[in-house]
Amino acid sequence: MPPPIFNRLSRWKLILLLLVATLILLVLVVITIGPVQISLSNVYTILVKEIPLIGDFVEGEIPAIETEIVLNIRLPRVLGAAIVGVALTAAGVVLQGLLRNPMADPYVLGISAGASLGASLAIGFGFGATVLGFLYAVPLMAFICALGTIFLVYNVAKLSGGNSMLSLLLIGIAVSSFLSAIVSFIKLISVDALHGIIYWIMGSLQFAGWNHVYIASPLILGGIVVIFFFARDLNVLSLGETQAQHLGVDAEKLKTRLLICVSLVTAAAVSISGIIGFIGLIIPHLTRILVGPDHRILIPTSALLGAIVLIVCDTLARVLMSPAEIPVGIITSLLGSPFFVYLLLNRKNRRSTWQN
Amino acid sequence: MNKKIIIVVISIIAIISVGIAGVLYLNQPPQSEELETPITIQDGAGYTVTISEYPERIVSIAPSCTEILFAIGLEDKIVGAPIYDHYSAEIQDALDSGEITSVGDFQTISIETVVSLDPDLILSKGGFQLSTANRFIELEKTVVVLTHSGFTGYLDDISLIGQVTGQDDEAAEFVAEIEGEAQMIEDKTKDLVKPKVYVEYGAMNSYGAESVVNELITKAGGTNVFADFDGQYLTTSTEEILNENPDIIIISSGVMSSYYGCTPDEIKSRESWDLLSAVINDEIYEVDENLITVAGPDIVDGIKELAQIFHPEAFNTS
Repeated sequence: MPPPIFNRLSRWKLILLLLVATLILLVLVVITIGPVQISLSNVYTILVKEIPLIGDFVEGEIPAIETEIVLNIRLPRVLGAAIVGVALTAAGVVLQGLLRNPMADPYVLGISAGASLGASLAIGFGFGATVLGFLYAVPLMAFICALGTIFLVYNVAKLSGGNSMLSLLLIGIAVSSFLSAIVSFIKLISVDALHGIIYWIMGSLQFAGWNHVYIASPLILGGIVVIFFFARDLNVLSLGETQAQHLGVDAEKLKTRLLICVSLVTAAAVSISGIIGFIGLIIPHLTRILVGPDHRILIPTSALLGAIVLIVCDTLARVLMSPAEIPVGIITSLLGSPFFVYLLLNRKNRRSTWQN
Repeated sequence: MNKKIIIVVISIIAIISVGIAGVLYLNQPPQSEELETPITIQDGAGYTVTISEYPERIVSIAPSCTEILFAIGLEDKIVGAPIYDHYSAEIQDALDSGEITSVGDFQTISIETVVSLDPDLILSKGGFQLSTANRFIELEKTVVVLTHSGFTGYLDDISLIGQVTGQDDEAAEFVAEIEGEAQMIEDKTKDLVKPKVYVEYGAMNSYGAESVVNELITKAGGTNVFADFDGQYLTTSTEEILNENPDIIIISSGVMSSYYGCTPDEIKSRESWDLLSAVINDEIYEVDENLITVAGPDIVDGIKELAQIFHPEAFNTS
């Protein structure tokens, strides 16, 4: 009989492999979908042509417009959806672990309110110009204000002392309310931009281009790697802070480091897509039901699942009312919540999915 | 004999050749005119745009831009526009019949569809369309952003579109026409007493100094009661209206007013509003919101309609 841990590890590896394969397949399928009809063979020829060396051997004249659409519009958008899904889900997992609260999502510490404020300022006061020629004002402002907000929340929570996680949560709520009020005020006074602000907050992957993907990917992927590095420590932390301390985990340092990662990753995601809800809250729980609460498997699995789900939802968003679009946040909530409830009702008592 | 036959044959060949050449010349695909010196303009978003060739394929992503293109004779060059354009039946027909491809609705433009139309020029509005415009700029398309701020701003935009499409003359003509008519109305009302006007679109929402409505009221020889309110929109109260006591009440009728159920009867039925002189004298009018709340090619009709309401003696068609 092989020792139990061997079974578990290979099972995890299998799951991860399956998910990565699904993700890649999904990307390849989804870039053939869009309001403009491009034949399947053309799409794949375009892709193969991009592979160095092999690509030169492929024959076939593809219209430049089709190449442009597949490579510069669909592909970066799908990849953008993938990294936003990864970012939000991983951030959700970490915050749920840190706060030991199943209701935590990546926005709970004020990041969404901060990003909304940044975007509202940029849209409302017409920051149209680009910074340094390639950074656009709205994502940049969203990113900066999101980080600024969590910085504020963190430091105020530290000042207040006491149970730091609880303070963090409460101050996060207070700051969010305050910033949301400012956003409402901006909506009131800049009527031209009202619609733009609302639309941005609803979340959409419409504007995800290569610029966004290139700039956000290092932040998000780097953040995920660091988070994964602390997976074991997160496991230990779920026993309780004092217990964790006794087991050799420096809880304070861990919290600070993880918060920094979560902030960067979420701010980067939100600057691409606006506020997409549901993914960061529910996908971690979904994954826990499927693979259990061990963060070493939970983090990568939920991240991959988040990417897959968001790509599917974004594709539906593009396709259902073509050529117009439905904000992707609406789709994620409409589809995801009932499915999640279904799963919740149907799970057998395989393993405890949440430790109190 | 031989010479004559030869001359006749050569003449016939010459005529046929000229005929064929003429037919080929006329059926040429439109060549973009290469400009000798590229035009550089600053658009409404402050971007510097260089036009090296007048566009043959234009995509508009805002109905107001489509309308201007039609107004200055560029309808044949439009290949894509937003799907709904209530302004004119002509535009809506072209969209419905597929002559002009729909690129989405005003709220979301399909970036893919626009790119697939291979446009030489994309016309966009500012404000929330800026993100979309930026995406096209990222994809290296030529984009001109227009912001239509006010009456003069709108006319400037018409001129700008004329400039970048080579329709300078048509645009100038159209602008001169509008300006001329507006000036005529302004001159007629210069020395007349200006009535105080209150415009509402429902639920006591009105228009301030930065709105198009305000400007049109002034040009039509009236005074907006909220002319000194900085901003576009405001919500007022019964108290304030009683204080202002406008001479004329105008309902900008359309989507919003029907949503709020704002009609002359509804206004008359409001608590304490029967004390207003406008209600007592039954000076409550409805004007189509498309004429006065947004700048469109028929902006002068908006001014005319208001002028007729404010100064019926001066503008009576009898």
